[in-house]
Amino acid sequence: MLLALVGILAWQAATFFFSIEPWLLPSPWEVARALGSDAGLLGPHAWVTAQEALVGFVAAVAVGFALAVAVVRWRTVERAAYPYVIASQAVPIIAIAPVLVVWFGFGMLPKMLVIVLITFFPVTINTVDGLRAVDPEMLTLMRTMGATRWQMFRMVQLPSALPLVFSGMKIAAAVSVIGAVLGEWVAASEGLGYLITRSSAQYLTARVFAAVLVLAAMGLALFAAVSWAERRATPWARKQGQE
Amino acid sequence: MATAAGRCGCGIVTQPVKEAIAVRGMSKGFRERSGWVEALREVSIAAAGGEFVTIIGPSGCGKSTLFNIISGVIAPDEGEVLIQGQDARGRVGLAGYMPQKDLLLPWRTVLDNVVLGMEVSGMKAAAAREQARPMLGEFGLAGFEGAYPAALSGGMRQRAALLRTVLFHRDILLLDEPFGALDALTRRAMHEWLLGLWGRLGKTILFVTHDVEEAVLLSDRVYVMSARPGRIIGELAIPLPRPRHAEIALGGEFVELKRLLLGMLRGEAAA
Repeated sequence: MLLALVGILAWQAATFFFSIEPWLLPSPWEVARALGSDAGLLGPHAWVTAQEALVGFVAAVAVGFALAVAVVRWRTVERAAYPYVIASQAVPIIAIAPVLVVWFGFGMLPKMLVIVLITFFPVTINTVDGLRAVDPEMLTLMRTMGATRWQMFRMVQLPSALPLVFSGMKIAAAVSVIGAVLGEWVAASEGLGYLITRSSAQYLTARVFAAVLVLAAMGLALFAAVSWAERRATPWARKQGQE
Repeated sequence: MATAAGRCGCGIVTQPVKEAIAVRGMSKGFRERSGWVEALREVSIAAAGGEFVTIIGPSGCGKSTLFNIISGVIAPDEGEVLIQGQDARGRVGLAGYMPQKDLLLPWRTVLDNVVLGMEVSGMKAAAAREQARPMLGEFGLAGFEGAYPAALSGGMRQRAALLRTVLFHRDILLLDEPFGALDALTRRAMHEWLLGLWGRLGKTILFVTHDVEEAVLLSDRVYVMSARPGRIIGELAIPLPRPRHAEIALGGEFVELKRLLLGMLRGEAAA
């Protein structure tokens, strides 16, 4: 908090004493004013981006989790799919985003796909690690009780993996906002990413900064929501931490 | 050896009362990187219904492998495994198995941990909890039903693991060094407590340990196992009167039995 305050003061001082042009670097005060005066503009655009980020995030978690379960369950899936999973992370999304637009149009779908492409990976990797880290003796104990594979998954593997699943989801939450903006840069008629491109072309730098602030708040909010869900879903981990 | 044969004077002769556990000529080996490792060689043990039988042996003598075979998790290469007369080779769920580590699930409360076996067997969680709740007191867990295992002491964790095994509702309990990780004082308290519990429940217990005193104090009969490959190299009946208390360990007969067991174990070490 204090760090942020010092930073803002220094920034304000710098813009004032060196009389930097607002189109180059607006002062915090000007950014704050833009936040207020452009609220009517920022709000609807933010709403669009938030929807994209949220839907993309949920889809990415679903895809990433399902893939991880399949990889752990079937060796064949691991051998067949893992190379592509890793290769997918080497693909420059910015390069293929225009192709996605050509294929899937200007709506929500291509943005969602961009988000899924860049955020399923941490979910998958963490979930795979989590599922594999289960204590094999716990599974043996379950077997002595005659547990089915589904019971072992539901009662042992999944809860044991949960903390790592949430780590993956937290990374995905922070990145999914970037994904939405990336998708909007390529082709969109609304959303904060679109607003940023248009405003920077018009040298409305204060508005660009204001939009970035809103994006940051959005990322923080999504991250906080996941952290809250984590605390609710893994009460035993919290208890241990407090001791 | 106590048997239940006399009780069935009801006229309808079905089958002679079977030994609760019977393992005959059982062998098991594993392929490891260094080659074929023989874990158990022609092991034969038996326990009558309601008997407390202990297997004692040096570390790495294959005691845990023996338990994994009796509980059905791994299959033997040769020999018979019968539980209450049924072929138990590769069949899980016939006996209650308490492994060396308590293996309480960290994400389940004490109450939800002890009902695990019942839940796996298909009982509704709420009904299983209702059944478990009145037993928490006897296991020294009253007031801790909502606690997570991380908050429990070592002795409490072992008692919770044992309650989980008891609530699996099998007549046979396989206890693999259940008190190995406890300090001496807690261990002593657990011995008395386990003896009392066994007296009330009337279950057959097969117990593994490498502590001679523990074996003499608890058991009706003790088998001595050799180091790998594990073989049965001795058997000793413990005719001490019951109920037994810790002071019995100071008596001459107790010490003599300990000496006999140590001799059997040392004979192995020298060989």
